[in-house]
Amino acid sequence: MRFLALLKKELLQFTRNRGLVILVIYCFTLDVYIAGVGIDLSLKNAKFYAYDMDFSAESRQMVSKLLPPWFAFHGYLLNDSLIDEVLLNDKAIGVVSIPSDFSKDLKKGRARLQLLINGSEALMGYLFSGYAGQVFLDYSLKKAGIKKENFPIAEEKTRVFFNPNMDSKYFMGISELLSVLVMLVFILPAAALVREKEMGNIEMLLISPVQPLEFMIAKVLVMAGIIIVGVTVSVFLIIKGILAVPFRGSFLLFLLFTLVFIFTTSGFGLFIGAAAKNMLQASQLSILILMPTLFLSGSWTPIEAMPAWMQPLTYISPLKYYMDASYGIALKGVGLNFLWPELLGLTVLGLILFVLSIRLLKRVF
Amino acid sequence: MIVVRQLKKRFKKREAVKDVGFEVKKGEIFGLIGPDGAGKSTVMKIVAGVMSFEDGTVQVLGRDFRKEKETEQAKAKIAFMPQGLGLNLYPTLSVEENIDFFAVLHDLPKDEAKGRKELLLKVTNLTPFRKREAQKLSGGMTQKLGVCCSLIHKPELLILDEPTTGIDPISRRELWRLIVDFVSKEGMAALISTSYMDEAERFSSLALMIDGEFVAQGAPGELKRLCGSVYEIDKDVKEVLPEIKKKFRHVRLKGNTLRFLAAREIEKTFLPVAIERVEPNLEDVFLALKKEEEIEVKAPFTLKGTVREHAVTVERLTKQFDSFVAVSDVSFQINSGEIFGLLGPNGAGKTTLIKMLCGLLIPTSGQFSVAGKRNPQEVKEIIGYMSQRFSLYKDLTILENLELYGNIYKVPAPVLRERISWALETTGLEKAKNEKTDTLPLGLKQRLALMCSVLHNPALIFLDEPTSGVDPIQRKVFWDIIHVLAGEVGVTVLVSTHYMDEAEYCDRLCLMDQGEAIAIGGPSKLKEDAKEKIGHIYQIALDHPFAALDILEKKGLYASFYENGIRMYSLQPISLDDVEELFSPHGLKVFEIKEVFPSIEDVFVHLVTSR
Repeated sequence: MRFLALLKKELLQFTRNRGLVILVIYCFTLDVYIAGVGIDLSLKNAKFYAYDMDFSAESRQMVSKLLPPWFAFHGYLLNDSLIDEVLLNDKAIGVVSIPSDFSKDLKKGRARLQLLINGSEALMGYLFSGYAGQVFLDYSLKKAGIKKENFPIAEEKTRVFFNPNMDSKYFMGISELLSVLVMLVFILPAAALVREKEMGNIEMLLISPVQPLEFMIAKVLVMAGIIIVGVTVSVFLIIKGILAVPFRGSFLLFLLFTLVFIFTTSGFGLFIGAAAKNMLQASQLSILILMPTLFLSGSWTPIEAMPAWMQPLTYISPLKYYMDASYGIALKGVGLNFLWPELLGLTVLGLILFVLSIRLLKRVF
Repeated sequence: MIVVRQLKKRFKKREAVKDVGFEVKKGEIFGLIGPDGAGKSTVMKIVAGVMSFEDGTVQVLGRDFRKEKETEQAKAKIAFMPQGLGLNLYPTLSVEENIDFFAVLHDLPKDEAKGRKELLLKVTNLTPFRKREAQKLSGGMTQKLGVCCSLIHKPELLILDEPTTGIDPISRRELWRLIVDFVSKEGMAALISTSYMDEAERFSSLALMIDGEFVAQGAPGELKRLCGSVYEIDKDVKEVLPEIKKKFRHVRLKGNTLRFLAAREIEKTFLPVAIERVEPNLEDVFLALKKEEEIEVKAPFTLKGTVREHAVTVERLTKQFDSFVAVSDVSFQINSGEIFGLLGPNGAGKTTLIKMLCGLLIPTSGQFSVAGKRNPQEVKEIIGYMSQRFSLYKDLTILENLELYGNIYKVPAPVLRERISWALETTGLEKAKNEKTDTLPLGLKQRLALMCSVLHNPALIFLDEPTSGVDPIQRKVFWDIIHVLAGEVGVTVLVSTHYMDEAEYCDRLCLMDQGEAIAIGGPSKLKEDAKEKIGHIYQIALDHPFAALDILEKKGLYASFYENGIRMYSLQPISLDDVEELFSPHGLKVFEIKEVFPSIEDVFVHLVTSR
């Protein structure tokens, strides 16, 4: 009865906090949708200028090979000081600079040109130089009359599994869902606890016979319920429905992982809530814990690319197991027979973290 | 200097200020008196130029506040101190650095700033503390520093929002002297709000504000005529109480004195006991102007468990936070069924003490027992607690709050239903039960919080400042409920308050100051003890109380403001002739002199100053 009353209270308080309700709805719907359609990891409409000192047929032909929709040619620059200007003002991702003896050299077979890249947009710059390099190579080979087949180059034939078109919405939609989920798992219990503290109600509960653990579990359960509903809506309505990304594996298995993950991580959230005096502190603390968790999960940088000493640390990020499992289920459709190590890791880690947070909580109160 | 006409301000749906108008001239102190939530702060913020308004005209220092540019011009000459302790100060800067900062902020020339700073530090007695950090000052000192910082640039208009709330009586007296002194010497105008009815006489004119409206406005003397006649009875009170309750309005019983209002003058022989007509005070006016609430407090249940003779025993309890001692070596006992009051200003250690007794804080040293147990965890079921102001869930409805607290204590469903209907009846909230609690006025909120804390029929309740900021009518109802709970149900009550006049509602008291218990005992006993030491106390009505205080101070006599005159303390008896002899050379006119019994405030001041 007491526990039910606490559950009811948490749920009522959540529904009455209009700002939070809107945030949660936004996170699970519009945010995932925007990420799915809006964040594209391929080169599109890359603005560039050319600084052509040669201005020969060849040089112009060369520039014209950088075609839409990948490239967008914005014009010729008349002097080299303009190069700086367009790059500094972010008017272009890159500038193709062609020396005056380009066409002559090309006939001799040793033409050179320069690609100036705006590195402040690292990803686009990287893609730009890669794509453009390929285009120039093709052009030079063709100009030299060499057919690729006759030339001793190792050509790769790529076959992409799970996402044959390399469509980034496959990846981005699910990635964003996982990100907002992680954020909410951190923020919701912390917010609920801090709110209680800021308004001073928590004292009333601490003096009453309610056990702190009972009170925390009520909060976590309600938050877990909200997140589960959100995830379900997001997967069926947004990811499968609107983005039309297939969800290959078992949705129930995914929910199981989500639940275990929520319990693992809510310990963090509660701890943040217990340690923080107000919402500002809570947000700062959650960033402090969220950042390493995200970083160590390998969601930003592949784990293999991290320094050797850091790699073992990734095992303490619950997000690592959860991310690996979620991508596995959603994109590859694998089942528990593949994912049991992740589930085991998550559970063990979860137990440790939960016990630790409860201990810390008791000390804070 | 201030002209306000038909001022209106609304926040979303709520009308915070409805059609308010007033004028303040040079050298005047205009007072806004009313309970929390009446709209006082809103009016002050608008006049200070920090809040916009919808309708009406506001002219301050000759500038029209409907125009933003003119508002900015006026703001340079206005000093505004917002409500709350030290909100305009920087807590980690020292006293001096705070004042210096404000001087720089207002571009004061260095020499002038220095001279003025020394003057202000001297008159506020803050000179010895000039190097101390603002956050380490007591409440009274913090407010004095706040006023210093406001006065540093010689403003033409001083706006202080509840500068005296919750601070000790001595600092309150000093603060008032400081304000009155500067306003008259420097020809400023001041707009000051307070929730203390007894500060009314300090104002040149004042407005009584309730629910966004000025229900009465004028000089203190004029306002007092609005409430008919006020009578007091101090003998055989219990016998005549039922009859008086039937015939008269606003009957209040404080200790052994019964006070009531009569629409017309009554004959001395009208009642079988001696009645005395007394001068009305602002509380009487407030009661007369606001409709009285008729709430009959019943107690449909009795105590399930009993507590031993000593419900609470406290032995040499001390709590230290780093270097700050919040509660120092306090000992007392609370008898079962008693109303025990912790009385003292903010920062005296009342809340810390209550929190230790509830198990929210661990004492640094000393011992205590609650209902015979040394560990409060063991008696959670029979304790009720109401924290300072925040007991209710604002985002839940009245009914949801009651249900939650009932269920937390596992009150069986049928019993809970009964208790909830009792609670709704007692609070008069039956119709509003599905509204969220944050829309309730403060007085009702506090009453509801009290109900929430007694739903599980506790034997012992701890109430932390339940009446702070609540208007007099609601405070009276609140105390009525406490009396029923203690008298009829048998609940032991520990209640803290910073209102000195609420001492009379308690059976026994512990007066606290700066963490220490300075006196323990029943209110009348404390007063009698103090009387022996203080000697005689005279209330002297005269035309220039402020000048009179100066004269007495030069002669080394102690006196304080009191309503429309002063209160003078003397070991020898004094007659009217003596007083006239004292004041007439200075051109002061004495109207009346009356010897009075010490009030709890006198006791408090006496104990603190003689330490």
